[in-house]
Amino acid sequence: MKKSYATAGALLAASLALGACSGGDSKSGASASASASASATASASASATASASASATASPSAPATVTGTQFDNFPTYGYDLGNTRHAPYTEITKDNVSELGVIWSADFKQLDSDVKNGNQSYPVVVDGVIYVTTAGNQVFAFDAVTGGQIWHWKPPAEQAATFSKAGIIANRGVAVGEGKVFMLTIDNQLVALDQKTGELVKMIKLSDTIEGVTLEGGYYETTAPVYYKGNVYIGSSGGDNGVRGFVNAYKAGDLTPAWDAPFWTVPPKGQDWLANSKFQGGGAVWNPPAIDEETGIMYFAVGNPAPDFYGADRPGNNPYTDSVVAVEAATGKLVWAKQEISHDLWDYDAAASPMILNATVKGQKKKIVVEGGKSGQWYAWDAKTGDVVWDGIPFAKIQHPKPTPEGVLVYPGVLGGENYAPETYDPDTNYVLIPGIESPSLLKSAKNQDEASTPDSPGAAAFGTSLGETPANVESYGTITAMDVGTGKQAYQVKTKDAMRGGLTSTASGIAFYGELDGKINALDIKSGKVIWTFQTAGDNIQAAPAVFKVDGKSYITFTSGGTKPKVYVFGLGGDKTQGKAGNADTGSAHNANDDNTKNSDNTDKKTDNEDK
Amino acid sequence: MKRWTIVLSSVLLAAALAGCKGSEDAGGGAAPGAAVATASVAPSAGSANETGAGAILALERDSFTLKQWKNDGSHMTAMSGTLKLGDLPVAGAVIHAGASKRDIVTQDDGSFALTVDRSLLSETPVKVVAVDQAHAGGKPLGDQAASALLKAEAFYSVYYPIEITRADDAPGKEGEVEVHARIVSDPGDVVTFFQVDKYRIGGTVKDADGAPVKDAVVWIDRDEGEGFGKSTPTDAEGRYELYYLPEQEEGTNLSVTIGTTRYTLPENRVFHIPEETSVQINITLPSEGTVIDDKPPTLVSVTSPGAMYTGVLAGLRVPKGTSYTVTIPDQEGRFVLTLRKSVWDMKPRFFETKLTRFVEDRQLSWGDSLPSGFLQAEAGDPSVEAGGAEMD
Repeated sequence: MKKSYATAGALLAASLALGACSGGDSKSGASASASASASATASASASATASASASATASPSAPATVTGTQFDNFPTYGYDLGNTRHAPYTEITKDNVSELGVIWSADFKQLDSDVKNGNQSYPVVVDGVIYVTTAGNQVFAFDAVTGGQIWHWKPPAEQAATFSKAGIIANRGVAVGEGKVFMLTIDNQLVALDQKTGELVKMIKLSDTIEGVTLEGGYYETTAPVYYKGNVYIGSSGGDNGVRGFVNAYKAGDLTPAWDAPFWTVPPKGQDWLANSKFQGGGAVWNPPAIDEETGIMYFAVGNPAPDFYGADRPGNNPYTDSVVAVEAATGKLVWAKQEISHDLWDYDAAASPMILNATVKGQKKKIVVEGGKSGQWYAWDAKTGDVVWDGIPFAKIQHPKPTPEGVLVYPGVLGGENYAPETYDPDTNYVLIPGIESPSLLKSAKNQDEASTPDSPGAAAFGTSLGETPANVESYGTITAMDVGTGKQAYQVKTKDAMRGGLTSTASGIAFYGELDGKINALDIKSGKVIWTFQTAGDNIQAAPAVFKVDGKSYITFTSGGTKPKVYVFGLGGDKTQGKAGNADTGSAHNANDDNTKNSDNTDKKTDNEDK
Repeated sequence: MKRWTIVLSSVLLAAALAGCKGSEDAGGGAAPGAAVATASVAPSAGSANETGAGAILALERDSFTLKQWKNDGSHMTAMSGTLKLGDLPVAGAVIHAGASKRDIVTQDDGSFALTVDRSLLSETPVKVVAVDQAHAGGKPLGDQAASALLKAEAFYSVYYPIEITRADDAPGKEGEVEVHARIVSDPGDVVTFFQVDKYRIGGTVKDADGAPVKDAVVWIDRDEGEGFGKSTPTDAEGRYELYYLPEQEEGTNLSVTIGTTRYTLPENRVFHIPEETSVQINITLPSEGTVIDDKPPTLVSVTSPGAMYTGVLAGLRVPKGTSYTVTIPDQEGRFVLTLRKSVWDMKPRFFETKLTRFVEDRQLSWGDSLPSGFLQAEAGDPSVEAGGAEMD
């Protein structure tokens, strides 16, 4: 009885949200999104005391129900469609942040043994339900307060087998809209699940509408989709396999295309700057777009040109690689494009999602689009015109010496700069917080050729293996840079032990939350730049930013951890303060992952945790 | 800008469609594509069938010369069309253009809009796919009207014009003619026609006893950069293949995955895959453990012939069995056809195709002669009438 009451209540709440969308204190307009919804019947559901400290173990045989009657959401990848990751919740303050503890956590591998190592999923929270994906494209819906599993979807075994062959299995989360949960799979399919039950509504192959978008063709999908005004927006991965990057739009209702053609980020092979290139050009779109609900313009960041380190066959600027591109969300028509790095030779993608800010710039209110690149430089443009506001302000060491046979250290290295990790914006301080990586790459003018070659065969030349490059013995760490949007100057820079790979989420009480690769979750006082709370979770490799939400007026923080112990956590005031052991950081160096990962029998580990952008 | 308003009968429609699809030796004008397609409807009471008129799907244009990709987006062109039943506009019908499968819904005046990517060779069918919500002149559709509308179809093409420079008797070949022609691109555009796309990595995977291993996947990835290649699963003989383009001078990791087991090279050992050649890598898996002994005979790596080519080629729409040769266009688009004079005198149309193919027995470069069997027109390849194509 309880279950059916709760379901009815949830449905009613959802319909209220869709119909009236009264808004509450949320800024988001993403459909079934941030809304304070009340339900007459929801009182039949479990009360939201939410101070229990025990870890929840979900029972698949008895689906959990939704706790609470009033919900303040984190409804899309970036909290709002502008990707500010700034939630207006104030219950957790600088004074009480030390009272945060674990409300519940769940170990994905206990919930399903087929869950893969590594996790880069950014949770989305709608009406008391946390929607989160895992490596290997499983989707879980948890009651946000108790951790009870409401539903769980996993791809058919046959499809999952394809994923593990693909090697890269990271996934960055879902979009929620029109009663459905959307996810992209590694093998280039778009999935729509019923938001209430998790049942598969539809799954389409992108190659049915965009020729050649297959794993064999070098394409894959890791990005979270974004829902806006009836459409689901997707990017593409595989730029370094020499694919032709694109963005496309599908109708949420039936997953048919919403645009006549994808927006291609680079020319077709054989034209323009690819006239003489053997490669297709690259230009992946690794992360979700930002969408301006006032103008209907969407902005996305485009990855590096291919081949990454050799530019002789791709003359010129190589548009739109390493760029932020503005298109009409309804049609995909180009509005403007601005390039960060012209003729890139360093793998300096514009990887992280852009943000749309209404900020004070040089003393005047202005709507701008900002993005930090793997180049270690941060940019701002006028949202409407693309006119430059701040042009490549450094937030990392930048040094490009001429390569020698012995090798030189190039800063930033192939990890960035700012990799896929998203920034957050705090309107009170007018600071953008940039998650950075300080990890140089060793570049040589000619490579080691001591090949252990095989004997010559008639008419063929033998070749073989050789020693790999020794990783440069240099200090690698992370940074959080507070960029003053008004002045274009750094307010401060915080050094973090490991590379910043997850990104940040801020609240209206002036706190930014972020995880680290050793499994710590931290709170930063945005104004002072001081770390005011740190908590060692039982997991490791937090590689995605938290989501902050409320149920019945109480604030919660949820995030995932990766590594070999992929988990999901919910923190709140009064939660369990028992901490775990420090985890091993996988710094995601290009050369090798840490031993725990590479030696693990799970064949997908190395690439999972190394997956960039 | 042409706006076709001719109404064809349904019998002619069938012929027009056949021509549009590029059936061999079909007649017709420059860059095909009936801009208007109709299907007639017999009158019936109480619905839009009463008009007794044909279904007319009209496009603003039926052909576009190819405009190369430009970073200002100017290669994307808006186009409109209308759907009518006789004089009555059909609203609420769903139209699809090409492979996009976007539902394009007709407006109250029967009009619809779509975007044409002029940077890609194409012959794109535009057809009515659903009329459940449609009405004509404000009236619901009868069965016959619906049926007629669902048969309505038009095409537009995107093509490079072809100009004939000269046609001479082929020296030493009785009854044959040598036709010198050129694929014409816009001034300033660089067109690189057929060229190497990727190389092949192929070979076998065997177990320690030398027996072929089925359903193994060979996986390569760059040691110091991003990017990977994944093979087809091995067949019953243990054979795999993947297509790859190595970057210069860099190490490449190799692994073999069978189910959830992953075999790798010894720690810190990488391949330097040679440039500009296909390769054969035969792998014998260890009897114990998951490390491949990276020396012969358990790992044998040699270069091998062949390359994957891709790019634009022109051929002739001639009856099946008609043989001719055509050269790979050079950087100015110039190519030479050699064929029987009697065939050329019938003024066959050209087709343009973007072909991707692995060629093992020879290396190809521009000017090389290809037999007509090498390139067949595919669905979606535009037809071109040489010399008669208009530029804009």
